[in-house]
Amino acid sequence: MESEQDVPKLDTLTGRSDEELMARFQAGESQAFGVLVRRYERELYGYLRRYLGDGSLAEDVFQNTFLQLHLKSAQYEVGRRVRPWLYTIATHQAVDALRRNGRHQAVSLEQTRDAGPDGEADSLASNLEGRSLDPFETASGNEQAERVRAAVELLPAFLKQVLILAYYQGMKYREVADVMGIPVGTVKSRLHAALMKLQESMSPAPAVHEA
Amino acid sequence: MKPDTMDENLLGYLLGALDRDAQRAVEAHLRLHPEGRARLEELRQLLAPLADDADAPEPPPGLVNHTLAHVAEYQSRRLRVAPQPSRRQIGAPLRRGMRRADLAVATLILVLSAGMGMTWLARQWRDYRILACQNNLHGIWTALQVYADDHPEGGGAFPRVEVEPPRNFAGVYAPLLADSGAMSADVNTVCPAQTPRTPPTCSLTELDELARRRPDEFHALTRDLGGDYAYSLGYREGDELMGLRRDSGNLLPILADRPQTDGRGNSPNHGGAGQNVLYIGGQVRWCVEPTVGVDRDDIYRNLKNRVLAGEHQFDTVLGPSEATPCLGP
Repeated sequence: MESEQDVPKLDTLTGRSDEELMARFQAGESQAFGVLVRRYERELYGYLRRYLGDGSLAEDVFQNTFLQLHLKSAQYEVGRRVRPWLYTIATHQAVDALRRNGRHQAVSLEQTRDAGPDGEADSLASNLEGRSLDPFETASGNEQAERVRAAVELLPAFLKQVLILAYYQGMKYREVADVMGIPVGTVKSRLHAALMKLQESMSPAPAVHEA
Repeated sequence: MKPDTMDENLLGYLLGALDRDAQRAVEAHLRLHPEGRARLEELRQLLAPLADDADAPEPPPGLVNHTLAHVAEYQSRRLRVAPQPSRRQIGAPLRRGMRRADLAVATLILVLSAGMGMTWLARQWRDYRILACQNNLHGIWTALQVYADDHPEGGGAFPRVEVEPPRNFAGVYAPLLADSGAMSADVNTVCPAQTPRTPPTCSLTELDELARRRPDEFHALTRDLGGDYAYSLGYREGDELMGLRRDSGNLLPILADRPQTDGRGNSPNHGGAGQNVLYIGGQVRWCVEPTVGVDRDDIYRNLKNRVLAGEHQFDTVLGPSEATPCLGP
């Protein structure tokens, strides 16, 4: 535990970068770990909540993510960026949780790594076939936010992850690629495909004309 | 560039997801191609609905504490119990000196390893409680910020202990924060290193009423309302008692683990090892001495060694719940 006998300075742990905190934690300064947990509380929980679509599951995965970070801290290489690493751990934990809950859509992080955009589009089309939003359901939902959430929820996991990371978490293509372990080009094509499918599922259903 | 590829880059451009070179390439393309600008606008429209759900979901109360507890619990589970000595080691007749020596060494190893394990475990739990306590202080700091936003003088005034009763004790900060709606239900004023309990709550109206009608109960309540934390008693400026504000300075302590009864030494909350101190700027530090105010000022007593209001702005005094800023009549 750090001894504090001097006049407090502004450069406290809370002002340190993620990488400095991780290095300090690795060196035995346990408070640094708590600062990291607090720093990512809102951001990482938000990611997991959106991706998993379940608050309770997101809470469990959040806790397990930091447990893994704690356990893997000895493997941390000084200077390595913590944020993408943390998201990678969180994403793997989330996929495992979905798999345990039997809710995984059978698409791993590595899937379609080698497939071209066309191949992805085909599998996407088949994935979404027959799964567009029920018009009555959407019509009854007054809140636009709920409609958006529901539409995102319907995306296959591998598209949803890219969309959440790039749009809601504000990551760059390169960072999303690092987190998911896929090429940048695949990130781009998945994001594009995700948006096209969102547009499709959120468009009003064509009117039915009686003969 | 293929239309699809350009679409993907335009999306990345809108999201700020491109690296610098790709961003420049898209900007150059847009300058030269009006159809690119039109497509950019279409994609912007396509993204627009997502903004309706842009607010990050609220984490559940206590997520940080639960996470730290989860890690600490796992760590303690992994601690191995020292093995029992085998029958061969302790059951054989001790006929020779070497056997007695073996037994002595084995016993010593067992005692040492068990002792080290216990020490390590105790340290883990102590660290966890300190972290959980810091989390409490962070929560209270957030409430103080909300309160200060509603009291804009001096860039934001924090709850002020008054000279006259009934709001003349340090613990009044808790009902002031609660009544203003600044303190959320999950904020805890009980230090996690102390016996878990629910601190009493009381609105300001009830407090005033209690002071008027049942003074004994009122005085008993002043000892508990502030929980296990000590709050700023303010400082004297001429004949006035001043409270802390945002412009008082980020490095001034405002809340900490409560002091000993006589205000001397470290807080009893963490077994006398030290105390967590919250500063106006939002920093929370674990301090092994109470002299951590400005110019090594003792945060629990004023310049005259009294648990009363400070003698000037930088003379910090954080009093336990029942402490008053001025001597009674």
